[in-house]
Amino acid sequence: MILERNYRCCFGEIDIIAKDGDCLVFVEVKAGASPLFGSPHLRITKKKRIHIIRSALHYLKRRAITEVDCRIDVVSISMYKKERPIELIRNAFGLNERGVQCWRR
Amino acid sequence: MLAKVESCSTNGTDAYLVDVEVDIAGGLPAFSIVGLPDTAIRESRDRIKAAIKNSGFQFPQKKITVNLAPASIKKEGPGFDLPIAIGILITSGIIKQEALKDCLICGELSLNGKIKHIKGVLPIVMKMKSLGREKIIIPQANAKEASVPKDIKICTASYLSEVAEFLKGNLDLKPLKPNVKYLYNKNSHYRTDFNDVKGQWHVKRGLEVAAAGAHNVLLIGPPGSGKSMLAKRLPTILSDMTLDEALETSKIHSVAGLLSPKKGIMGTRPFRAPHHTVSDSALIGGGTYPKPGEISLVHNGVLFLDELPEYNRNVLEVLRQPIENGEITVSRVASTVTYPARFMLIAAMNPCPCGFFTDPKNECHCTPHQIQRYLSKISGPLLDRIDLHLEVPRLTYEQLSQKRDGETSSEIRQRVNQARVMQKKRYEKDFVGFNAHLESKMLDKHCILDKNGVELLKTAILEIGLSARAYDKILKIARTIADLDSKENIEAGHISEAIGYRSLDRNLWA
Repeated sequence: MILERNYRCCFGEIDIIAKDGDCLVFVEVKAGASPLFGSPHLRITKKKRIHIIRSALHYLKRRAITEVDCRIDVVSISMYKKERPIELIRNAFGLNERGVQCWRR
Repeated sequence: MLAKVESCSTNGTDAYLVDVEVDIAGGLPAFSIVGLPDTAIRESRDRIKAAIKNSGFQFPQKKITVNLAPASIKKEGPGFDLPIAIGILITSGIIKQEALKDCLICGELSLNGKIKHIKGVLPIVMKMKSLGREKIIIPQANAKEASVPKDIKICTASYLSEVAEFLKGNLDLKPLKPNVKYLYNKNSHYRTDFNDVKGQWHVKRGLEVAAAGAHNVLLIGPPGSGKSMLAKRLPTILSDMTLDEALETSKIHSVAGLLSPKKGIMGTRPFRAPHHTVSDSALIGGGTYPKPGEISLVHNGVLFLDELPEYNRNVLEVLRQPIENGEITVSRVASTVTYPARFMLIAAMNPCPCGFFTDPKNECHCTPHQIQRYLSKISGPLLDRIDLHLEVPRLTYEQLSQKRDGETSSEIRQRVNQARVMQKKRYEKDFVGFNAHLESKMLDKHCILDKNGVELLKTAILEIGLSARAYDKILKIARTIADLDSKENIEAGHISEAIGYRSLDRNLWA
């Protein structure tokens, strides 16, 4: 069930916020038009990951959501292939991302 | 949800309890470890994740916080992998907290869930025994060293899943049987023997005297004369290692991670020969969180310094204090640790830079000045602590070609044992171990000379020009020789032999 699309805040943007059972899922959708630079999900840089994590935390704080399981998924769509395959990576990254920890405190 | 697992770590040769607390909460998945972990522990996050997944369990996608209490002590090493993993399994409801009552867990995990060997298991189990703990789970690879103490149930496991099943009550891990006597007897044989060395009778006798009185020795001789070979065989003639001594030494080796998993206990006296490029902290112990050095690893054994003048001067000078005290306190800002270091020093050197000064066959090319400079690399205070100076001459063809017919180590060891028993009896009230540790005021009490002895010593001092320092040393050595002879008083023969062991005093060089 999709709760929110293109949630924007001062830290960045989250493409989709959804609910998977009891789990709150933040989804980053990445599409790639050319294979020249690798799969689309490989193009989520560290900077982008930190933006997503911070935005997700911002969302949780704003909605005063505590003690709820969350995860961050990545959906990658390869536009250059004929069938345009959609790939879902569950729990792609978490708070252990470097550079987030110090900010969190 | 909170879980608590008890574990253990070491500080020096002492073990202390560590509470591993694992808290699990909702939120974005994270895994953090607090309580002064070092890098190895911080990296354990990834090992634990993989190990839990590969053992057939699910790693919880939640916010996990691990605390290692007491939080004021810096924790080292990967030994907390297993307790943290068990804590996570408790919080995710796979194991019940009650199953861990009175149970301690230590172990390193590999990615496939196998439990690996850790350092310092022997001090840990000994401490747990003294604390009256009942149960402890350790890696299978550490089984032998852990089977030393009695009255404590020690279970070993090879896989994380095994521990989990055991705590669930589905599997029984058999407790180890204490077999310290068996291990000790099995490992208390030397591979070398004193009769491997041909000739060199007076050096062998000198080493026997040194072994009997725990005197430090300096061997001086040209290259290839067998100095190293003789030194390597010195531990074999030292008195038998008692079980307590063996445990003391094993403890240090366990902390250093040098105890072989096959042996489990050091039954023989350790022998170590650090290369002359060794640094001072490697020799006496060091590091931000001090680790035992070479002199602690040879506790109750023999430290061999080959090519003594080649060692850095500061390295040799740091030896002075531990030789006196039998222990070394390594102080760093972060922590201070005292390691025992009671050892016998045996050093070897050439008489001059080219090595052939005392060799009748080869010509020495060194100038007197070179020789003087070479010898002066060894400081007076260090030489003070070396009682016996033995000259090791080059062997002749006749000596080399003869059969091995010397005494075996066990024959010599019997005499050494007997001499050491005599000393122990005599010094019971003086808190001194051996003749080498006698202080000058005790010399008057314990080293009583007969008339001929007094005469001889007087002549020696006047004629050869022996110093006051040499006088004390000669009395101590003569005391040991008399002990080997089972005599209460020192006789002239003992004195003259002792003078023979002080070749550096007789100014033979330069």
